[in-house]
Parts: sequence; C-alpha cells; structure tokens
Amino acid sequence: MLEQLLARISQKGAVSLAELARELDTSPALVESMLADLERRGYLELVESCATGHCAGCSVKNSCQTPRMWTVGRRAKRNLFVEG
Amino acid sequence: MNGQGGAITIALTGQPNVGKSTVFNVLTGLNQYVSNWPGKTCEQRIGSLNHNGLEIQVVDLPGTYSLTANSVEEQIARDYIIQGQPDVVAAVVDAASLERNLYLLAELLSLPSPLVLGLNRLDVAEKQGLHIEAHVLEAALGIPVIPMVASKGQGVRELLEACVLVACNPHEYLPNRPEIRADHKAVMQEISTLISGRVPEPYPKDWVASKLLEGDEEVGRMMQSSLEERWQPVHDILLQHEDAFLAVASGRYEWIGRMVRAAVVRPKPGQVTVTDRLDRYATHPVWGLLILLCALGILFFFTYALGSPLQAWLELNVVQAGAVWVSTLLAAGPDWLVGMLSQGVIAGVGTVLTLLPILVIFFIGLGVLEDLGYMARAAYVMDRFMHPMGLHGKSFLALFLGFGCNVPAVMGTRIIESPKARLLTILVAPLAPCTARLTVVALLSPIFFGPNAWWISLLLIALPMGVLLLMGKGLHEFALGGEHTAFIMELPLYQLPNFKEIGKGVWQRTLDFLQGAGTIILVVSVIMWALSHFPGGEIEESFLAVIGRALAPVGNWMGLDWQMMVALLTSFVRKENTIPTLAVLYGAGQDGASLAQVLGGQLVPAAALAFLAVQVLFVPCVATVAAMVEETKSWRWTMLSVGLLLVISLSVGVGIYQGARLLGVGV
Repeated sequence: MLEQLLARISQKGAVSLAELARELDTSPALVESMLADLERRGYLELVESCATGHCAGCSVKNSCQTPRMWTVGRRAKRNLFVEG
Repeated sequence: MNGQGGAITIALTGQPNVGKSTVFNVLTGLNQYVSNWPGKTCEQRIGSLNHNGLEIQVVDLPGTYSLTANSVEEQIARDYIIQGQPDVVAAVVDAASLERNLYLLAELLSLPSPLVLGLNRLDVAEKQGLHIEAHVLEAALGIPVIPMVASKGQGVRELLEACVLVACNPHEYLPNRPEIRADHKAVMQEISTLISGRVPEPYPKDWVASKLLEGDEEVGRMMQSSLEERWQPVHDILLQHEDAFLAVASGRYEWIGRMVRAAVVRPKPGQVTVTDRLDRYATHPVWGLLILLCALGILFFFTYALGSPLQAWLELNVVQAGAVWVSTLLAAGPDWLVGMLSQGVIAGVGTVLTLLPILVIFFIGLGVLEDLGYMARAAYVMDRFMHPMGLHGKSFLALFLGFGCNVPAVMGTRIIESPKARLLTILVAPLAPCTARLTVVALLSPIFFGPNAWWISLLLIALPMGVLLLMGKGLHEFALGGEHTAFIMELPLYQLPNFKEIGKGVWQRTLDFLQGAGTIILVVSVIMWALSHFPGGEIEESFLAVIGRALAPVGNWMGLDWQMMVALLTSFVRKENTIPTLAVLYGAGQDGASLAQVLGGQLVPAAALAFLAVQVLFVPCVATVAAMVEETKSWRWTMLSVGLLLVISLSVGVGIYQGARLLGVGV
C-alpha cells in the first residue's frame, strides 16, 4: 500500500490527497497518516513553505498559506526509484 | 491476574486528545496520585477503584500516536505494556478519526496484554456523518469494543466491566492481528529463527522480529547486545531488506482499511462535502482550466473596470495638477529645475501613484481568491502545464503574481524550495504579462488596429505565455539538467473570505510596491528626463535621440522608426513609459492633437503588430531586473534571462514584419 503510494507520486506531477485516497481505495485521513509515517521515515519530505526565515518583509508571504505538499524523500529516491 | 489478592491492573492508553483523561477521571474519581515515570520527567498518573469487591489499579499511560519509540512518551507506553504486563490494556480511540487511531491499536495488538477498545466520541463521529457499527468492528477485531461518549460518562462503566471480563478470562482472548505483508513473511520467519532463544524476557519474539524489520533502533541495540556474535547474520538480512518497514507498515494500513471498510458507514455520495463537490470541477483537467480562465477574466475585468477610471482621475488631479502647481510655484526658478520636477519627478513618480488603484484592486481580488482557498486549486490545475518545465504548482503561484507586476513574481519565488525550480521560475518570470504591459497593449491596440483590436490583444497576451512555456522547457532541458519533481498536495477546505486578513495582505503588498518600485522610479525618471533634455534642451538633439538613431537599423527590419525604438528602450525603465515617450516624441498635445491622432497614421499594421509583440516580450523593467539580481544573487543568470528575452523579442518582431512583407499582408 505504501509502495503503491510512493510509486504513484513518482509518476506524475501533483496529485491531491483526495485523489490518492480514491486510487488506494481508502480515506484521506488514512492517506494523511501514511504520509506522516513516510515523512518520519524519510521516504517523503514535507515541502517547506515560508517558514524558512527569509520571508520577513516579503510582499507575497500571504500567498505562502499554500497547501501542504510532500515530495519524494531521499530515502525513497535512494532505495526505491534509483537503484531499483 | 497480575495483582495480588484479587487485584487487577488496567493500563489506559490512546492517542493524545481522545478523551483518555476523562475516562481515567470518571473511573478513579479522587483516588489517584501523580508522580514521575521512573527515570523520566514525564508525569505518571495511577488511580484505584473497587469494582464488585475487586481491587482495580488504573495506570494512565502517556498519549502516543504509535509505539515506535519516537518519543519519551512512546517509549514509556511501550515499556510499561511489555515489562509491566498489565492484566488488560484499555485503548481509547476517537471514533471521529478512527483510521488514525487504529494505527496505535494495530501496534498494541502485537503485544501480549489483552486489549479492550473504548470507541469514544461517537456523538462527534455521528455529527460528521460517520456511522460506526461497534458490534461489526468487535467481530472484525476479535476484541471487545465499547461505544462511549466519555464526556457524558456514557460507556465508561461498560468499558470497566469488559476490562474485568477480559482480565479474568485471558484464554478467551483471540484477536485478529495485523500481519506483515505476504512477500516479507519468509524474511520475518528467518529472523525469528535466528533470534530464537536469545530474546530477553518478557519481550515477545515475533514482536521483536517485526520491530527489527521496521528498523526500530532501540530494539536493534537490545538484540545486538543480546545476540553478540550472532547479530551479524541478522544485521546482514536487515541491510538487505532496508525497506521492510514499508511491508510492516503496509500490513498495518491494509488491516486498518479492512476494519474500516467492515465497520464504518460513510456519508452517501449525495452527502459529500461542499469542498468535494466544488473540487470535482475546480481540479478537473478541462473544467478546472475553464474555471481558472474565468476567475482570471473576472479578476482583470474588475481591476480595469474599477481601477482605470480612478487612474484617469488621479492622472488629471495629481500628475497634471502637480506639474502645473510646480511650474507656478517655481516660475522664477531655473528652467532645468522646473523641467526636472514637472516632466521628470512628477511625471515619473506620479505615474506610479496613478497605477495604485489598479494595483490595489488587483491585490484585493487576488487576496479573495487566496482566502477562499481557490489558489491551491489554481496551482493544482496549472501543475500539468508546469511539469514539462520541471516546475510545479508553486511556481505557478509565483508566476501568477507576475500578472500584476513581475517584481512580486520574482520575489514570490521564495516559496519554492528547490533551488533549480526557483532559479528557473525567476528566469521566466518576466514573461508573465504584467498589468503595465497589458496597459500598453490595451491603450495602443485600438489606435493601431481599430475594430480588430480585441482579438489581436488576446493574441498579444497569449504570446508571452507561449514563449514562457517554450523558454522554460528549453532552460530546463539544456541549462538546468532536467530535474523533475513530483508532489502530493493537500487541498485546503474552501472557506468564506476573511476581509480583515485580506486587508492586511493588500496593505503589506501595496507598501512594498511603493517602497520598492517608488524609489527606483524616482531615480530613473530624473535620469530619463536628463537624457531627453540635454545637451541642447531639444528632444530631437538629445542624448536619447542619438541612442534612438543608433538603434534605427534594427528598427528598420521591423518597419519601426527611431522614435518607436526609443519608446521600447524607455519601457526598460517602466513598461508604461512607452506611452508618454511616444506622446512626447510624436508631439501629442501640440495643437490639441491626441496620441491616437498623431500615432494613428505612423505605422502600417504589420509594423504595429511587430512593435507590440516586441513590447510584450521585451527585456523586463529595471525593477524586475533588480529583483532578479537580488533573488538569484547572480548577474550572470539575470543577464542570461535579459539577453534571451532581447533576442527572442527582436526575432519575433522581425519575423512578424518580414513575414507580413513576404506574404504581402498588412504592409
């Protein structure tokens, strides 16, 4: 199930949480806890938004209330997609 | 029974904020005492009660999301359940977020102590439209499941009775445990065999094997010291199956999925949330794009419909009135000072002020779209177009700002974390058709093209967008090494806009615009005035004219005279400068002639189209270049972008004019 999730996000660009839940035949809540789990293990990385410190005085910091986004983490790149 | 003399121990566990403390308080009342867990700073709460003559001790374990020893709390909970060996573990879960809570239950089931499940907050779940059939869940899990609303005291006594029953009849406890995924069963068996007989008491062997595969560091250390020289083969297997965690956790998630499918009745399709219903269209590949176009259209419509009259009013009452006022006030002063102030400072800085209404209305519209939660969808829909460039939705958020002004677009790339994607977005940001360029197109198109202006304007807006995609693709493949990124995106719920927050955002953006752009424009306005005034005081003999005539050969290829080339050049300072430059150079205002009258007959349609095409693709304005240097920290990359745009814009201009000449159209 987790491999399916990782494989899915390595294929295409953005996929929404709701769409992932539909494809894995589960609920967004469970997908969210899978994402948290995978993030903790380094398979996914939570994309940093404006909390990186160089946003003081930035005129678009309001736009930084962007949705949470995850990208493929180092561990997944190393173990799942590059080597095999 | 664990306790002596007919006493039993119940360990109370659950995730944080599931109502576990309420259950503990209802059960034990005032008979509780608080100390610290041995060797830890974490609070330990133990209470006692007498139930039908049976002494019961209740240990409240810290709230934890799992039992992976990620935190002190998780370690305490897991150590207590394994080493303290309570007679029964009562797991309290939040029915409203059952899936997440079941993960902890999946881990608890792997431990030897029998479990009872307290299904708390059923009222909240029902309100959310979730109906959980407790008896079905009980059959699926193979453990007692007690429906509860602990805040109202409902179900707490039943939970206690179920705990006592399980504690007194442990042999009847036959739970349905999650298993490691089938493809890893053999590996787990192999490890179990290797560690057999060397697992410290009272750790269950299968649990230890599973935790080793999961990569649990604490269990790893424990087994390394226990196995000594026999650790190496185990370690080798673990290295070979570094990703076994995925198999272990997948087993748990699949188990959770089965339990939930069996026992949870979700809202029927007709009852889906408003967000789901809206998103079906807003994130659809076709409808989503149409909605985005409409949203942009409405945004621009309101920006122009409301902002343009205000701008015209300010033009009349601030810029022109200011120039007259300065001339009157300084009538006795030197000519150059009056000229610099009225034709330089007031004309230049005043222009910025007159643009403010348009900018503020645009920022308000943008703020409303953001606050509604729509921008996330816009980014999501645009992602499929950004992907071939190696960019993603966040780049779109930045580029979208470029429709207002390229400067915030460049600064907006700060939300992009990947350095390559950020650089690429900065390099193509000047191609987002900013309001200043759109203003020039909107003002000049009717003069040049009459009734055909509307569709030619649309083409002129689409042109830089097309070039943006092509240039992005090219840079991505050849200069930046083709890095692709994929994303999972959480789309927030739609909400009604909060106008106070929007107001704050608009204020901040406007202030930044005034501070950033205003200062540069002041300096440049004075320089431009000087160039068009000196050495002789006549524009035809000015330094600017000399520069313009030097550019004339390039202009000839596009059918443009030197005045048009100077207008392009001044647009480097500010895009809108094209308009006043043309007005001055062609002598609008003399003998009451308007810009339309003096400019109308100057160019053939092919040359006019070439001029506007160059105008929308031309090098970014000074402020944008300054922002690009600041954000990329590199003159080299900035100059690459500027150089590319110069070449592309002039090539397109020459292409249009020469193509039209070859075809004999519009010349």
